[in-house]
Amino acid sequence: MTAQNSMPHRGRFQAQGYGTEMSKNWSQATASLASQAHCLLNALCEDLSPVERRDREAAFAKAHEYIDRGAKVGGVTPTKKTFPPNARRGQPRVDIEVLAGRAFVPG
Amino acid sequence: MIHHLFADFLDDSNVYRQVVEYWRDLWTRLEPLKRGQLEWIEPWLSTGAPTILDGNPIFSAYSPKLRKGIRVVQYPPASADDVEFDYWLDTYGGDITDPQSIQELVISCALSEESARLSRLVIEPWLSGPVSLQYTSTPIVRNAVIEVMGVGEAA
Repeated sequence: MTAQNSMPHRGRFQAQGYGTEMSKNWSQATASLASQAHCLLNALCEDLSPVERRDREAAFAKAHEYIDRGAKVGGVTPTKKTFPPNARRGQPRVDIEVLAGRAFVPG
Repeated sequence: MIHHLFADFLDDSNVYRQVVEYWRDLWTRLEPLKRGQLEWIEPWLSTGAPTILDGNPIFSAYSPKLRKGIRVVQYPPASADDVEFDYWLDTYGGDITDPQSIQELVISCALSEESARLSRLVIEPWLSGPVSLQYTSTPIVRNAVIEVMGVGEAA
């Protein structure tokens, strides 16, 4: 187990579909704040090309909404979310993986 | 004409609970012996919090023995005439080269009698053993989709 994997709060954001496969991970000692999560998700968005970004505009918006929704209930536990929920195979999407611990706590 | 089930599941928590039970019931009818042997655990992933009832996922299961998972994302129906259903393979916890990652079968659908039937046909071979990454192209799955949807592959 790597030092990063031993951290109690871990997860990643992924931009997938149409040949895109990019992600941003978090791995930390304390639960990720919603504000940190928004920044990391924005960083992923900024790494995409303008076309890749445009194709996932609604998916990123839904992912940000989920972070806010998580913060309202005090954070979320391990899960995986696909946005948009009605994604089709290979089409542009954004996934959220909370792998361990809590994420998107208020702050 | 599609036979939708629990179409308003996002609007009523009682209906939502019925949908969760529907998927559990569908699951428990599939290959009980193999599910036990392969140590499938259900549920696997939540929606993130008990108060988040968004159907994303509505059902999930995981076999630590196979390092395989199943995740079903359900959304409200948008069509009265088309089966809204698709599936693909993904990984959880790392990319495909990461030995710690879990291979997952993802089903995205609006629940109907038709999409439930497709789900059963797609899940059954996946839960039964070490199916390869070419799973979605195998004849058993392709023929199942042809049979139910009347097309060569899920749209």
